[in-house]
Amino acid sequence: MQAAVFERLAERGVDETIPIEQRHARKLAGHYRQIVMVQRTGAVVRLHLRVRKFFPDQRLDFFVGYHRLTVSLKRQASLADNFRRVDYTNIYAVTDKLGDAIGDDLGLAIALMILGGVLSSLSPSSVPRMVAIVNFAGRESKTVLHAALLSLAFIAGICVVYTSVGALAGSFGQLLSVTGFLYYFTAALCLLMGLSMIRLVELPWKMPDIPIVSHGATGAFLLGFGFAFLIAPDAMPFMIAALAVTTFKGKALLGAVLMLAFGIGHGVPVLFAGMLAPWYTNNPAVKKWQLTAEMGAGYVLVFLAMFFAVIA
Amino acid sequence: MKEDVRPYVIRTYDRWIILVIVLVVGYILFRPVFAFSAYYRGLSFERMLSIGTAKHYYQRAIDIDANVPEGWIALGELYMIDGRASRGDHDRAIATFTSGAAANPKNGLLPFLLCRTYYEQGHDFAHALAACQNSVRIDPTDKFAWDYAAWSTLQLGNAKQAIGYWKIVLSLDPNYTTARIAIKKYAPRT
Repeated sequence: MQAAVFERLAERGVDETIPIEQRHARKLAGHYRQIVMVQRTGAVVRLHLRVRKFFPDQRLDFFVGYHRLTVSLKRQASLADNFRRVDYTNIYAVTDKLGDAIGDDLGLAIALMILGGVLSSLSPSSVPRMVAIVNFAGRESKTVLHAALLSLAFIAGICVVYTSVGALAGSFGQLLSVTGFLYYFTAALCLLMGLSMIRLVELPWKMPDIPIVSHGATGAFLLGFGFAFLIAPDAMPFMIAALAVTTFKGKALLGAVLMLAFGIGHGVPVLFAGMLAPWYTNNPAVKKWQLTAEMGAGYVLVFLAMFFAVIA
Repeated sequence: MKEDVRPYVIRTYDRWIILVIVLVVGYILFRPVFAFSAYYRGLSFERMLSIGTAKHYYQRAIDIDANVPEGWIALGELYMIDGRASRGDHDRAIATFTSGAAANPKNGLLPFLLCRTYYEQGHDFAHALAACQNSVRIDPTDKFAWDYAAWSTLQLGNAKQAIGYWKIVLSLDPNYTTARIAIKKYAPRT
């Protein structure tokens, strides 16, 4: 089955074969696409080495033999050129380039992970997190500074989970296999929150009010910790690229650092949303429209619940 | 305070009615996004080498919206790759690409992949040629489709037509080495 995946990955990069083809045209006949894959993806080469024992195929041996050559060719091009040529509509290409960047330049990789975190945080699937921190900070704080502290605690909770996942990426395949459950869980959460915000249902239970866990920085941290488990599909390319480092290079610390960067990036919009929470809560003009805005957000949440349930 | 003069049903169930409208209209409008997201999930699983689960999500993407070609392409490619070892998977690849091409008549990649499957695995050159011709009709800039059309034509015994196709390939990409070699090899000697 893995062989199928190799071929599938290999078919994604036909346009980058020319340097090798010119040098070794005769030898590469029939191995065209496999070579492309090696040229494009350090991580996939290591993946191939990992499962090579399952596929003692001559072709696979062949492109391992040429790995050194292809890597040196790849380094001839500048990093900027490398990124300019990416087809950003192709998820394979984006993920592969991220993998390359991680292998080539740690600083750039961290910057990309932060950017990926920011982008994924702005997507609709992050709405439940935003709603949670805004509600929490709005209820708990009166000043922007206090709200910022609570938001940072919330982000710290998210970062702890992401960093742990980065370090333990060897078992990430298993985590992905249960994400169907996580999607249904997210859907249920969105549905309950949404219906409650539209005032169509009243949640019958009250959480026990334990000061240390339901208030203050500890409460915000635990809230962030819980919401970090809502894995959104838009975060996947970045997460997979980072986790490939841990899984295929065996560098747990590097994987943890990259995922921490992703968590920090993810936290930037959350921080801004949380900081503004006291203003939303206490401003009379905002208060006037609060019910309407809350109900609008509730409809969005119920719609998101349907989205998560459909794609789970 | 103003009296609510709306009809009883609307007055009582207004939020439910809005909710149903939001869900129905939202689903209709965003169905391609739902389908693409399901496809995207399949892609994540494929990257983690969980092929069975990937196929499941690709199929789900197709079920959600058949007019999004990504699910058809991804599922068909997986069947096509397995089709080298299994006749059943080959047939499934053919069926997937055929149905996908019918549901997405403006997508040139699906008929091209159908052409490849017929050519490489089934050695059914007549069907391969028909599929490639369909592909280049939709996307005349696809040099790979022209190349496969040329090889299919050559296999059917029409070298002259094949060379015509390869010339088109070279007009699209002058560096397409195999087309240049094929023209040199199969061009009639004068």
